[in-house]
Amino acid sequence: MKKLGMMVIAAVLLFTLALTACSSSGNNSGDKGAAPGTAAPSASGTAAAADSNLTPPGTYPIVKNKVTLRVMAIDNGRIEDIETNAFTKWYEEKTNVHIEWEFVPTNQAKEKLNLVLASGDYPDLIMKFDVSPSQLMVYGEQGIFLTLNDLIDKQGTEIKQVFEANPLVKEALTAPNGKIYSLPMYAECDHCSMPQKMWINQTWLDKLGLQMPTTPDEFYNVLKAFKERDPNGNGKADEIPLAGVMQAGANGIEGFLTSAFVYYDKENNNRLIVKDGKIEPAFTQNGYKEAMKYIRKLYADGLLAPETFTQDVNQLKKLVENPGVAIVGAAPALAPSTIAQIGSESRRWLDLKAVPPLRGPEGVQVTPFKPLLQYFASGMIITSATKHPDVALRWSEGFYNEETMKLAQFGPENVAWRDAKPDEVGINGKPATWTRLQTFGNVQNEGWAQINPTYQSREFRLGESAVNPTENQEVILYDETMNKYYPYIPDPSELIPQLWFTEEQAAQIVELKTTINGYLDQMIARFATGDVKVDEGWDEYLKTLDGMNLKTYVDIYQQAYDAVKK
Amino acid sequence: MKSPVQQLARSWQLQALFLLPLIYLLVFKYYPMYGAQIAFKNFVAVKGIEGSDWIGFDYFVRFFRSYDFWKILGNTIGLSFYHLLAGFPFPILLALSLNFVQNAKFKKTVQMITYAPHFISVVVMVGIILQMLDPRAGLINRGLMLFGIDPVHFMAKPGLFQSIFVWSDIWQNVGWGCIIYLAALAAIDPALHEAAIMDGANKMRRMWHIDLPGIMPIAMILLILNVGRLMDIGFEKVLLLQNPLNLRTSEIIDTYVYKVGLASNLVNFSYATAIGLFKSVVNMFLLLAINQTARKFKQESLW
Repeated sequence: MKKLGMMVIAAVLLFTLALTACSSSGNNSGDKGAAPGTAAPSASGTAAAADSNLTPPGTYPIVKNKVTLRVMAIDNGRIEDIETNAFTKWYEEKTNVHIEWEFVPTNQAKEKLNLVLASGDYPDLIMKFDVSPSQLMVYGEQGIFLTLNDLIDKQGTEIKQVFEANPLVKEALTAPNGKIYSLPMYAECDHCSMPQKMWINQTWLDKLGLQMPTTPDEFYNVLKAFKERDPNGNGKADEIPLAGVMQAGANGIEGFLTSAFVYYDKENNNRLIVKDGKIEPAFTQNGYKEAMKYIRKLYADGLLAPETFTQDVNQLKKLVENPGVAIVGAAPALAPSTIAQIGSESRRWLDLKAVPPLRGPEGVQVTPFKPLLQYFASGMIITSATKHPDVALRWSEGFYNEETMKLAQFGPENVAWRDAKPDEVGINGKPATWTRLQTFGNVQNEGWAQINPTYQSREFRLGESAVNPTENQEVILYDETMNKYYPYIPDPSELIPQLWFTEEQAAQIVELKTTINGYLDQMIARFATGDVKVDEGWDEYLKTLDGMNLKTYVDIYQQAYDAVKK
Repeated sequence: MKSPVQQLARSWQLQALFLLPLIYLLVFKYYPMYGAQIAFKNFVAVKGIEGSDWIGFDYFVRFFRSYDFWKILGNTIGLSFYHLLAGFPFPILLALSLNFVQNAKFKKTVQMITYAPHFISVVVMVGIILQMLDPRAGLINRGLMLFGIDPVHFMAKPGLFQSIFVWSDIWQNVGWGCIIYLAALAAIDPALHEAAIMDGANKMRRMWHIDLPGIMPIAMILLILNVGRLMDIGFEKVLLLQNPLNLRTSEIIDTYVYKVGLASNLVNFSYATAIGLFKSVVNMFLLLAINQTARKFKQESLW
């Protein structure tokens, strides 16, 4: 009896399992049929249908009869209601294209993108999601992301102007196989392309009668003075001469200090250097060893805060914004806004001035330079699900037009911005071309607040009127960067351009990178705290890196580099 | 004797009650097993599960050959065992102690205070831990400095990572875990205790001879179930407590998979699934092993 009952239940479960297996495979083959199928017919079939509806390239509206496009975009929390937004209505009227929106919160963007691409149900356009060049190539070759070369040739106008104005953009956008899979987003930001800066408390320097340091030894002496001579004047030895964080990106504590010994760039060059066309790791060079010894000296003599290796940027900011008196003497960051509160009562952010790159004992004085730092390859992607690829392209490239860009970015003319008056001066000291009227960053319903890609040339950005120049962040950053860092950018041959890895290369890189970079960060911390002595532990360190397949890692980069340089 | 069908029909209310959890199990636990096959395939989104090519054990081999494999596996198992063994006695001790408290108000208050931390979310908990252990302003270091001891940079010491993780977890969950033991203790026949008191047993002896054997079956079952989840030690908490200095003891399988398979720019669902499958297999073996062990020792077992 019992046995029979058990058999019945087992049979029911097995049957259910079989049923579910069958039904899902049915669904999947249905999906499979749908996805690649639409790629082919849409290009040719809709071309014929759309031709009659399309207006000539460069003219508006884009289509005679209204077309609807599905757009997936990132919700940055700055738009009240996209449907009633002033720019939405203006642009819809201009282009005669209606948009069905799908918004994704910023912190879910990567997951959502992966899910959408895996599900087979794509929107027409994917706007400003962070898609790496490797991903672009993988999905582009599978046909999920449309190849845009022909579309741009036949229908593009604004994007062609962008390419002409800045050939670097076209070069970076084109995959090694010659295809373009996305439209770019680019804002030429000078201070962003030299991100590895060190900020020091100028009031403390003045108070102690010290000069801005120019070499690692001078920097050491300044920090020592901060520690011993009570620059904040409260009678307590509570000063923290140097503090930082250990994060991916340009502003780890080791970045600025190491650059006095060897060219060290975490962002653009991935901690690699180029010597006569050959790629080598920066972190196995002798200069790097000296840098580690220097950092160890700072830590051992109490000049580098121990919590640097365990805190995050918010905790660093709390230290810098210490209530009452300042306690932090120096900290590395892209801009003061990272480590201090702009506009705060303490006015701590105005005390901070940039330290020019230090000149190391071997004469190395260089700052990492990323010419396209504010460049995203994936400003706009058109997927194979769209039935109107040409409309999609023309709708997208409209954002590169300067007038449209200003309306989208800021809001209506004479409300959010206006043309500059003849006597107004720009950020770069030359006559200004436009003036900002409303501050950016608040919730509003006039513009799109940067959910769309744009092209902001350097002339445009620097043409903004410099209101209140001594306290204007843009002006301060521009001056500090151009005066103190620009003279020390490396020779272009030392820079690694945008690399496109094949799927296989990318898969290998991802794993090696996690292991190697994790180990490097660990060792920086361990060298600094004295857990491992630099001289004694150096050979072991090199051996471990070899064991982690460092050679393969460098080889893959060399291959990708050669492919692009060809 | 009634036939199975008649038996089922008679107890239809029980079947109805059972139906909902059964459906939940089938939909959320059994049906997704179909997708586990992508661990053996090179899953490409546009081809779907059916259309992706079989590559066999390639991803497993890749994982086993990865540089840090043994270290990561060691960290995971070490952390899990530490967590299991250290955390096992405390809910029991608390339950045994609370059981003897006469004052109902005091008992209820202690219970509520001890199980309240269970509801703190992982992120908040990590924030609390980091604040307490801060080398400059943290409570613990301030206390040490009062006694003239140098502040200790707890989060910088890889050797302390596991302890920090485990003991904060114990603090957070001891109250919640003791609830089930309290229920079991309440079910013990009071006549046993009366008889013991008459025989002159003091509280300790009563605990040892009556209470402990009374809750042993439940303790065993919970132990077995926890061993079955050994490899699934909390991912979020470990990820948040990691930093470059303690990475060599804090990198566990889940955080490694997250960095390589899901957070990277080239997302790889197959690789992540393969590793997840590996973990499940290990969990299953551990479960079988401990169940057998429990049976050998004539204790309560799952089957």
